[in-house]
Amino acid sequence: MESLGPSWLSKPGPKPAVQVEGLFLSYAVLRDTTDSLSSLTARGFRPRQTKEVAALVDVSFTLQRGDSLGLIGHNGAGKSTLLQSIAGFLRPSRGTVLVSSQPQLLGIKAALNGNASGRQNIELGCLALGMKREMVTELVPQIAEYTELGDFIDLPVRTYSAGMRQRLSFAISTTQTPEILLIDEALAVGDKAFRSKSMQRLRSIREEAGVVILASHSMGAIKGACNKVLWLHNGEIAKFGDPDDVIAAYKKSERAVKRDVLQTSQRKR
Amino acid sequence: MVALDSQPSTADHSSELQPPGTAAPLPIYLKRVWKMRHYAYASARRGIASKNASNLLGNLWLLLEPAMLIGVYFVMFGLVVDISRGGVDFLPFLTVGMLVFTHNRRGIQLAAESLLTKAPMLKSFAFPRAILPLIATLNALFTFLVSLIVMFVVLPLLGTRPTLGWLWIIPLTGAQAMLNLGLGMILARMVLRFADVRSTLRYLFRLTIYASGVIFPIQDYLAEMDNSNLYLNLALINPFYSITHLFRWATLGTKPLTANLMIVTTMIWCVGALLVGTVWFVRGERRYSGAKTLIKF
Repeated sequence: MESLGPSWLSKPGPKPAVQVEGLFLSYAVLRDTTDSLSSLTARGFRPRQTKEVAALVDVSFTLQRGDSLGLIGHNGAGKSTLLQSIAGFLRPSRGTVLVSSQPQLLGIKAALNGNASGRQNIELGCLALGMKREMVTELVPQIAEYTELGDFIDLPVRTYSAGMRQRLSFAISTTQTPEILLIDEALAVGDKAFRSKSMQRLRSIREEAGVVILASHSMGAIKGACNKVLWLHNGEIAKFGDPDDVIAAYKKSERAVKRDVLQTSQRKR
Repeated sequence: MVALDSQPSTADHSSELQPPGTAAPLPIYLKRVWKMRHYAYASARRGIASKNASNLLGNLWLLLEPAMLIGVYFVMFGLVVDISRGGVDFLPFLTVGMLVFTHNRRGIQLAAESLLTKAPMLKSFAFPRAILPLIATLNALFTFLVSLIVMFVVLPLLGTRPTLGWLWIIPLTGAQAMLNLGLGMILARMVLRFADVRSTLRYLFRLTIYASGVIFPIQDYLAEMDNSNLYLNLALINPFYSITHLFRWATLGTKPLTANLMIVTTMIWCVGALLVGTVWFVRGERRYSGAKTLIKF
């Protein structure tokens, strides 16, 4: 149903679904990581100083329904922080994030209870996602089967291997198809057979969801899935746009960095 | 994977852009909390069940723990230091006091630390954050209900017959849960900003155990002091003091002189803490991130 708003609201063209404008996000961390007795004396027993660390600096972009954005960048470039703030779990220090509906963040580090069984974790996870009781009862056996964990499904999760945990949390967090899906390095879960199964599941979610943002180090996965790519470098946008262009530029800079490292180490010798 | 086509789409395509996250005006927020009640209940029960999962005796510890706690204080204050000089029957006095106070202490501590201990949940799920202190409150409540078995066994053994007055346990327990949730939410927001509050809290509760007449009747000692009235009135402001004594009145039949005042104090504290706690916690909703570092605002 279209609402009768001012004319600029109903202008033709695709509606934005995710709008990030001038987003700054900084953490305050305690300046001295270890607090020794001498440093305590030196600052006269006053509280410790905090230091600001900029995680995101002036990030702006807009995504329409149907867009699929790949997030690339080195470790610590701010990819996860950006996903967290689009999900609304981190408050911007400055700037705004607007979405058309609450995004769902799919991370492989979803909270699992080690002392509960796999099945109990599925039940809790589904309830935590806000599903109705009856629906959960109906879904638990299906999800349990999907994980292919066999008899392990009724053993405590603390007895699971890392791969088994990943399968379990992947199965839980992909149960629903949200309108905006944020994926944090959740591709390639488990062994080869399960990996192709999970990739297929992700593809179908991507097709159903309105907007997908995918943070990954796998350029192949990004090229295959995204129509836009955003390259983050030290919290800033290094390049944003067509996947081929951005990935080519990213790889070029990576090669340059490698060359630099090589040259420095050779010079040292 | 799973047939979810039947599920109604949550997306309202005509809707305007909005900020993401779990913050909402109070009525909408409370509605969302209500919708998550099944999760809160299931999670609290799971938390209790898994606490003793690695112990051979398992959930028997839900009874052993309070029994041993009472035992330790009985040896210390009942046998080593003979406290029952004022004609107080020490063991029933201690049993009720310790069980009741442990409910408040555990509930408030668990709720105050809930945003820290469940930080990974904050990074994965978009439920209203008040669910976490609520789960903590329910966890403490269910544990207390089980530990009441100890009381129902110990008191008759010591010659206290159950009476209809024991039914007062129900509203008093409810009042405790309200106080736990309210104070827990207030502290949870503070703990997240200043982790130091968490460390302080433990010692505050150590002090409160003595200031609330849990182990020995402090009013006898306070009465001996110079400003006896001042100290007695101060004790009456302490909700844990009132709740402990009201529970003893219900179970042991020892009516305190200031019973009416205690009822009023308890009601004001419980309702007040829950109201203030809810408003204060919900207003800080956007600050509760799962980040390990402090976020500056």
